[in-house]
Amino acid sequence: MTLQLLGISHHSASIDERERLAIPPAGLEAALRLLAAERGVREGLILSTCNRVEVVAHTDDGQNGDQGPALDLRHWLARATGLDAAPDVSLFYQLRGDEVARHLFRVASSLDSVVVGEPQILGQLKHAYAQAQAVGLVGAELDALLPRAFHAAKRVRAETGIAAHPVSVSQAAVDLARQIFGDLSHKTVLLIGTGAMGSIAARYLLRQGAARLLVTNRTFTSAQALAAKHHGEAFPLEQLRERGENADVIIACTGSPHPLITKADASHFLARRRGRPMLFLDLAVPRDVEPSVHQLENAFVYNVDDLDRVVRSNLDERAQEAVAAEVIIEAELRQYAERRQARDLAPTLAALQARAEAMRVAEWARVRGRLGPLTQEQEQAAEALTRSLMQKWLHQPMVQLKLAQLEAGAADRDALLQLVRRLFDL
Amino acid sequence: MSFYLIWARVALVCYLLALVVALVAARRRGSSGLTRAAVATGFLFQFVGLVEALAAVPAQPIDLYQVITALLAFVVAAFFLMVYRTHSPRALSLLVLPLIVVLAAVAGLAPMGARSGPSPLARSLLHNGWIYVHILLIMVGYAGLVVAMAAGVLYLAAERSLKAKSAPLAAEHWMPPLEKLDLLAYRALLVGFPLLTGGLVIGAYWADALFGRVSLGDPTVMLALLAWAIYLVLLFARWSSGWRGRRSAYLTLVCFAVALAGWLVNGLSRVHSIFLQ
Repeated sequence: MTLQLLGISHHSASIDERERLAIPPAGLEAALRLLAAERGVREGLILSTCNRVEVVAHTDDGQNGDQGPALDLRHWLARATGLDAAPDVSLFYQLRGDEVARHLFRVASSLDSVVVGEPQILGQLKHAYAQAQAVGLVGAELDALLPRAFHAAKRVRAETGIAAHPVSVSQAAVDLARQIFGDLSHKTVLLIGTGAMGSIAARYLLRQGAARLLVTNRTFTSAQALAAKHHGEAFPLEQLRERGENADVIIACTGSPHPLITKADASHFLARRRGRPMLFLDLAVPRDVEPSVHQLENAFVYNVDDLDRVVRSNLDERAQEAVAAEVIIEAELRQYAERRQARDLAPTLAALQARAEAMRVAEWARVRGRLGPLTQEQEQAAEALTRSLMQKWLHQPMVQLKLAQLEAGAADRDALLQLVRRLFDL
Repeated sequence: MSFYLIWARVALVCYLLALVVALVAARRRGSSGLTRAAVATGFLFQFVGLVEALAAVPAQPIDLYQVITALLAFVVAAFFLMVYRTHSPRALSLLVLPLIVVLAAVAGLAPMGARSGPSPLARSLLHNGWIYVHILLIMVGYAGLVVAMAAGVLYLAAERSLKAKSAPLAAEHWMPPLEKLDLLAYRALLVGFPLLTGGLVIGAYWADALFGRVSLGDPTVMLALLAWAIYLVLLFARWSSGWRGRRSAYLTLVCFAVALAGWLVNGLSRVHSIFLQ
């Protein structure tokens, strides 16, 4: 039996090709059933997100005695997605045995994602697992593998900083607001201008708990429209100097050629706020907030370049954290391999011991008749002797078998077990 | 060896353990409930030790200043336990825990040797209950100052990195938010101020009754009054003109330094050195 994985992702193919092979959420159950109906397929799983399509299958080996699995996933995927011919091999990666485990561990831990450390992929993989379970396509193999992958992902998240650093400008904005204010639940956000980047950042702050949104704009009606959408309040730009002090975070994103907030304005706000801090996120080019505002006590001005630099340094940071994550993955894989091996080996070891015991009992019964009456001690001594002979004789082969099983590749492992079963006639 | 010392040392071990756990947790990017449990345990032992000391004080050879240091460690630990839940703990733990450890070490490790015990004069003074109130109030006032100082140091560090735009982002797990630090310092001062005031008033009144007029030139008295005055300015500036943040943090540090100096020159003070052996 072979565990195999066929995948197409942002690493291997362009978005056009991924689109052609994507399995939409609505069609996933049908695809799983189709996979289940294939001959030789014992277990399976399909993960389809906007960045990747992956099919995992645990299949019987082929009829003709070669080591290949019974099912060619590439042809199957072409059929499942309604393509006439199987797509080019170079678009895919195909993995078998241990490599499947390593890959799934890395995918679950978001090490294989476009944005390393993004949190969605783990949920998507859990969902894929649940759906495969619902169709009845999950057995011992995947039940052993996927929970370990989830566990590895959890460890990576908890023990490395891989997901700790924001990597979008909006996230960086929220992060800064949190560093200054902590809880945002009593904070007011003022959005100046209705540009896309500013609105996104404002929306993100609201979603993170900010209490109130104020919007102002040169064209008052568009400010009103935007405010209405977020249950905020709009005011004309002329009132900025009177009302700016109410905002804890000011996001400026207008096309104005001159700064809208001067140092004098900002110190006016701060004085009225009795020194409570203010965060200015200046997303406009040319800038809307005079850079010198940053020199004022309790005022913090971050412009587009500052935020961008933060995001970029965080991407570097994530890359470094990824190295630590790989170490965790390797440790988890080793543990998984040991468990798996113990599981695979257990029936053979048990059979071996049972066989030896049966042989011992039979032989002892045969000889026992010829010995005449024995005292209880003699009887016990003979029992102990035969048993310990058998155990000592079996000890070394069993230890070596465990070691060999750990060292062997996926393909050799089955062969090794077969050999042992033949040798001892199990 | 008196029981006081045993308990003080057990408390020291607990605080050390808490510090180690906090360090490990910080490295692993986690935080641990164990820190809090260890501080709480140390806190309890410290309490037991203080009760023992209190029972023994008038007669036994116990260094009063050692016991007072233990009291300060105890009150700071109490403050720490109070703010641990509501404030992002890591940076705060790593700053306050070493302070607690140092105080507990001074309280538990100073050599006892063969001590004669308090002088007859000091002994008679220790039968007056007001001295305990005086000490307790002043120590709680000082502990508030210690917490405010720690929050102020963190505030300055956090503000600096935000101004330099070099803040490691996602620092929120590590460093409490700026506004929270400011608020913490303010609250600690607010709690500490009336108690320190009360302690000073009682001290002044009582000393006046016992020794006659105490000179304002007495170093401990002078520094304590100076610290108190800065304390007052800090709070008043905040109420009247919204002084907060950086300026407030700097002034808190000055106030702390003055209070610390006052503590260190106890030996030079005519009214306070009576209790030193």
